Amino acid sequence: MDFNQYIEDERLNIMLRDALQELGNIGVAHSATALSQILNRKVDMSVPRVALVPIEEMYKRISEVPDELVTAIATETVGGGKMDILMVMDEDSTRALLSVLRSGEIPDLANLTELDKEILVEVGNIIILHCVSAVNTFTGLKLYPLPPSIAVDMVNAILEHMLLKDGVYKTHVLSVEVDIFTESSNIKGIVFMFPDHRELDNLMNQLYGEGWDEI
Amino acid sequence: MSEEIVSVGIGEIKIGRPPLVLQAVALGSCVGIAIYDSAVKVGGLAHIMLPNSPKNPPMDSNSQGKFADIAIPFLVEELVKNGASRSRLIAKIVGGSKMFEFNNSTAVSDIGSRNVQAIKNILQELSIPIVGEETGGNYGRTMVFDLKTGSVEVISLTQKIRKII
Repeated sequence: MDFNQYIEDERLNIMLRDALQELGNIGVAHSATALSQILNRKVDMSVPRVALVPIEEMYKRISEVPDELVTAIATETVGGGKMDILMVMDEDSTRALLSVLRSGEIPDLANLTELDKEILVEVGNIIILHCVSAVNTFTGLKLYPLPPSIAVDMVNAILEHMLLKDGVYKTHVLSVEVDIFTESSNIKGIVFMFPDHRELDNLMNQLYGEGWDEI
Repeated sequence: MSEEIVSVGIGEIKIGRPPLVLQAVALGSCVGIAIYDSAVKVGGLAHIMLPNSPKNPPMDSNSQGKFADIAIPFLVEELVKNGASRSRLIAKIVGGSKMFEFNNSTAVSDIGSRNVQAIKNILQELSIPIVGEETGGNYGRTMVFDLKTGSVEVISLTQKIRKII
């Protein structure tokens, strides 16, 4: 099924949104628990805002400024299906997260140390693992994310890379936007998953049963 | 004459004359290609996404700028229409990086270097020399193409690079 059908057909759109919302809730709840354990303090997460969005919209969700520096953690899954996954945080959120995880002065994004980047990869890894695990639990798919990689760079350069990396221009992306609260800070992260429409159909078939779109 | 800066977005092509300055912001695996005729001071910039246009489905009419195999001949034609001479054209290319390193990376996922290679092949076929190049690596770049001089400034925020090619 074409991505636009999901967006334009009201019924499909609602079914898809419900499914994604449920996936997002589970992924986020698990991530919050894992982060609490690592940070050894209470971590709350907002109900995630989940949507299938056209690519132009994806750019706007992060920043209107194409050369704004952001932290991006990316990986791809192997096993039951191949899907690219990207987690993005802006400068304020990155620094807020680091200040919870380590002591000392936090540099600006252009001057992060290798250690800072390793810390960020680990947090990104936890969140990505739980998002994928939620997808797997729900759908019976067996997606395994590879160890992620980090880039701190201009937001458009990163998004463009994710969109084009397989040599095919993707049109839509699954977006899971979440706020993470600790006592002292508020961190906003967005996880993007890049399925092609076969993968999205597969996911919906697993959730609602084969032929769900013909009922 | 004060300069006027025009952004060339992803998949776009723009041409012009001084005092215009063309810029492509935040190139990752995309490649910005600046082509210039210094005698008549006409130049153009294409922000290219992929090496080859898809055969199926066929392209829509506003995607000339997305694919190297179509974008470069189109850009050259437009420059010639605006008074440039084919024999005087020179090119500078920027971008084509690989933003993430994955352990299992295949050649397929390195779209940046495929873009650069495709563009070099096409420029060679068209006999347009590459006089400046800043490609590869694992960081994003912004390029600023001054049509008064033909100079291209390359900026990387994280590598703290700022140089003229």
